[in-house]
Amino acid sequence: MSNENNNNSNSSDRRQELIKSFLDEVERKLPFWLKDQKEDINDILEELETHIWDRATELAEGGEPSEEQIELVIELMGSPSKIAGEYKRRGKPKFYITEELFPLYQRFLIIAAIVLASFNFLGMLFSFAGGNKGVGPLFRNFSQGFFISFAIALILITIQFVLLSREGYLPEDFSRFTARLPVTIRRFFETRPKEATKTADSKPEVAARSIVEPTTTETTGSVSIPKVVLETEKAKIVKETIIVKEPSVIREERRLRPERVVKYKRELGRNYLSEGITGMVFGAALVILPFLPVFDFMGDSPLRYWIVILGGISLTIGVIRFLQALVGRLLRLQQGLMILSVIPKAAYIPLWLSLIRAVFEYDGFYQEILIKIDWLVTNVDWWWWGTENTFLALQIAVYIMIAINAISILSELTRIGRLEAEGFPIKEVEVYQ
Amino acid sequence: MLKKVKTFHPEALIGTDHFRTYVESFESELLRGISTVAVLQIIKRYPREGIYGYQLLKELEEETKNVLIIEEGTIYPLLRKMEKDGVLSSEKKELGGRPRKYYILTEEGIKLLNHMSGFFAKLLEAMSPLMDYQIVLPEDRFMYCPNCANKIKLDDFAKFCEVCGLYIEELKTQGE
Repeated sequence: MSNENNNNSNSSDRRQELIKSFLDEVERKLPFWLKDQKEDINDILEELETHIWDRATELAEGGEPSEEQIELVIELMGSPSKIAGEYKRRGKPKFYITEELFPLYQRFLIIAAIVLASFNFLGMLFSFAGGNKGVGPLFRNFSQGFFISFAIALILITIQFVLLSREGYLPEDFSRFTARLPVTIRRFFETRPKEATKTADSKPEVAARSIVEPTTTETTGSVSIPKVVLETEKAKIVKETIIVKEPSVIREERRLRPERVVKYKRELGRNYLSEGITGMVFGAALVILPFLPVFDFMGDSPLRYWIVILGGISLTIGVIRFLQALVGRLLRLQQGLMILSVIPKAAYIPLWLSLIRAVFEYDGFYQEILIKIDWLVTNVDWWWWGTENTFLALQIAVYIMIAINAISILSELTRIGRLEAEGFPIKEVEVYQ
Repeated sequence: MLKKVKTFHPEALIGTDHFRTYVESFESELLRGISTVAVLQIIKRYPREGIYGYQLLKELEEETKNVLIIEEGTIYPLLRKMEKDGVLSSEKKELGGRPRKYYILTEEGIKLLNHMSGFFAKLLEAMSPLMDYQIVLPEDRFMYCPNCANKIKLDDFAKFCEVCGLYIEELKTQGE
């Protein structure tokens, strides 16, 4: 008897294991934007589990399903990748980037173009001030530098948006990172019409009011209510259908209730997506530009490599930020990436210091800076400061940069700690007017 | 559906991977839209109590005599998407000791379904000269909006098509 019990419990464990490993596999393959919503994930997995038990119980003709029956049902469910893939099917395909993400993609390209044009323009100005070349070659170098760097930015940004489209991201998935940003920056991410902010009734009515006469609508047995459209911003009315359960009857009631106004209480306050993409574009530009003719004015200066290192660090931080945007509210992964981002941030400090002193026994950058300052003081007439004062100003600037970096590292560490202690900040607070 | 079909002879068309994939992807593309209409039609039958996923699949299999088969796990992403789009609403209830999500058509969902089924019916009718079948639409009870193919009950009081807003009152009386 006890053997039989053992067998039963073993078999039950095994069945649970089979189902759990299937559900784990589905969860693992779900897109990141969905993983952000824990309740939804639980709902999805719960529905799948109930389905498996229902089908298996039917196969067992109402009895306890066997392991083989569970295995068969899991096979009928379809592969975890296919199920997860269906959740990614969002947005209208437009080339390889969805129509929904396309405006955001265009905006990033425009910004990249402006930033890169400015870099190249600055390079051209320096070359001009150094009197290296005539206007013609300078302009040629400018256009060459701009086109090469923009082509690279185009490839980078396109790859990122194709990836986001494949994962089924929509612009609103990034709203969690933009909620606390200034309105002007937030608008940058609002690429869809703001239908959601209107009342449910007012949408069709605006268009229809001009042509629709008041008609008797069909009576379906439920209590029909007059449509309410208010022009004022506050206290909008929305229709709500509530199913009221009574012992034997299910009755449908319609009520008017104030619209739910969502106020954001606290947010991460960071926009990792735009930080990521701009960091990557900016970093890549700094890594590549010093090797293009537009930076010829720098000659063999070691500062060329200083700029490349600066770009490399920025590129690394950009990649980490982009991954953070994808990861969303996966606590451990998010914290891991935050810790990882501290490393390149810390690398900025010796880099800045290397401009004013020898770092790790290397003084190439520092010596070069001294030469440049001497050149400026002796060659540029309007430069009224002496060498020492100019170097002092540079030192102050460098220490300010280092302080900013140190604060940023500390705040990153604080955020990691706060995430550990409080979890993710409350996303929204419901307030009824 | 084709996944369950055996290949009886190595020289059969689907004996080669290339054509098997071709036929499979044709089937899945065609089924994608049709299964949405079919699923919504079944949900429509339960306007008050709603229907849960497994029950829905069972009914779909029975009604379509096992021809329209959706891979079981993929019905849930479809239902969830329609819920997010405002076509369906859901309510959790417990049955047989397990929590179940019951799906109900929203007001907008009902209108969309009328449009979908009207469009689908008109499409089948339009295809009939190209195919070897005949379609008889129930035009004694319904009219199909000439602008958007929305299916409208003839005994409805509506003067306008609720999907595209076309004035239909005169058209209805002509139809009668």
